[in-house]
Amino acid sequence: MTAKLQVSNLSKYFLTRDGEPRKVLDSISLDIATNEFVCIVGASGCGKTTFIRAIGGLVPAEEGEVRIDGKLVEGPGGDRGFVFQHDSLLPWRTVLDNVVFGLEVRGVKPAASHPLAESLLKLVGLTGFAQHYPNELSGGMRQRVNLARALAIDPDVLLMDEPFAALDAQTREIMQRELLKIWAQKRKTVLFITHQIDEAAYLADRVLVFSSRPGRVAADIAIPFPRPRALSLKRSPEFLKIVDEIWTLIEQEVVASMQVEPG
Amino acid sequence: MSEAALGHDKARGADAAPSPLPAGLRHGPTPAQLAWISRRRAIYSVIGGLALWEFTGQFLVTNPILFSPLSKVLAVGWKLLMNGELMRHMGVSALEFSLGFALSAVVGIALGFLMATSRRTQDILDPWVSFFYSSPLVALMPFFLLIFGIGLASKVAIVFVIAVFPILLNAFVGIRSADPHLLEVAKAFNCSRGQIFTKILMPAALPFVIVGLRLGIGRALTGVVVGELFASRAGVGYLITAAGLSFDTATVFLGVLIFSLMGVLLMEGLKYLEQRLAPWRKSVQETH
Repeated sequence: MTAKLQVSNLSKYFLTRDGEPRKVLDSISLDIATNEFVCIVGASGCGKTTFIRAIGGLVPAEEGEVRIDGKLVEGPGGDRGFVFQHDSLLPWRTVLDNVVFGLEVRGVKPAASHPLAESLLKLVGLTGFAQHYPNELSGGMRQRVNLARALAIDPDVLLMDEPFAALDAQTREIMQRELLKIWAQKRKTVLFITHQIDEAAYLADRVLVFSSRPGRVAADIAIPFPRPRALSLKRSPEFLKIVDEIWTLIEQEVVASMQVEPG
Repeated sequence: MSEAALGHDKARGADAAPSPLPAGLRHGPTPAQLAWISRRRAIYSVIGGLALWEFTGQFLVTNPILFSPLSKVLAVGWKLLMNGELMRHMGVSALEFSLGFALSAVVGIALGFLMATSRRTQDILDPWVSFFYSSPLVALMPFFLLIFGIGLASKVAIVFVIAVFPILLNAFVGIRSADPHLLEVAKAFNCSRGQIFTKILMPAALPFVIVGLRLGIGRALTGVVVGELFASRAGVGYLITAAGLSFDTATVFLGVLIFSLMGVLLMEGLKYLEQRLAPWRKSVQETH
């Protein structure tokens, strides 16, 4: 199968306060197949967010390249839809106007974008909230809008940067199930960043474990569970075994990341 | 929380049969009732203040040069309104205010936005803005009189220079305080520079711009008064000066009252404008 998203030898450096370059991503290569759901887990500070930002074109990568359908991509583009971790809705726009934002920027007229946005709001379970402002919604509902906004531009690849990190545990579980349902309908290639191992194992076809300083792909673990997956899967022994396996892989990294000197 | 919510539900479903409350649970006032209580206090306070004004003028300070009761001020106002004097003076002041304030709003917002988006412009203008913002610019009035003469132009100039800086600074801060997360969203969706400005920066700056305009209104009114007190042939400030020189305290009070009411009216207008332009901020107040 040909790769939808192809990353080869991607490296990224930051300048320290003294002006010294420091490698934060070390020649990362990975292929993601069409419609594949890939999660990246790693200790905080392992560069996983920097990695997805580099894929999204939000920060430049100094070495390596990113290809989508074999085509080299530089900078942000409509072939990638970004779902942000933090509350990134425009507070002065209604839910509907937030969802059409990406289309509006490309010059799509409301006559075309509004029906599409309405159908996406239905898909994410927010029918009837089109005219609400973001501050009238709960955190979970806001992230649904965030997802709908990314889907609206119909990207080839969905980049999700810890989208459920700020939600409470119950809402997060529901959102995970909803996301899989939406993914099953929309068939997108997804790259999903998280620090929660069970989230990664529940969602993904494949979990990539990042090691820290500099970030590197330490392991590539296939998740064999059939779909659709019920939330109860998370309590099955097979699932817990995989979670435990991944945890063992990153345990030392997490412990190390807690003891690192600042700077 | 639950108590307030209960009270709210009951206020809405007035025709529903009241359900018996558990013992120990009492209705507090609803938000609507609380708002009405606050408004009622404010109305009483104003009425009390006006009564005190009238009482002081009628019985405590009866010398008409030292004080003037409300009724006499209103009578003078009525007389001037009838003979057309009042409208003439107010028209002159309103024109000076409108021109000067409009100019300061346009220039202030434009320069503030420019400074916030161009590092070079900021570096060049910053020392001057800091300097003029903190100097007592009313002192420039004699200078404006020399250049622009006694008429409209000198008043517009003084209104402009003292109102423009708070407007400029707030517009600048508004752009600068735009949430970096939202700028990242704009980047991810491939916005052009122009789109970033109109779709992210301008709406983010709007509440700050309104605050700047509010400060600007206060200062612009001061500008009108100062301009007319220095030298003029018409205007409410001229009315006050002329009345003061002829020991006509009632007319002095009338002039001050007009300026105050104008200020209040303009502030209310701006509040209305903010609600129209920034409805998402109103919905914050409504939802919490």
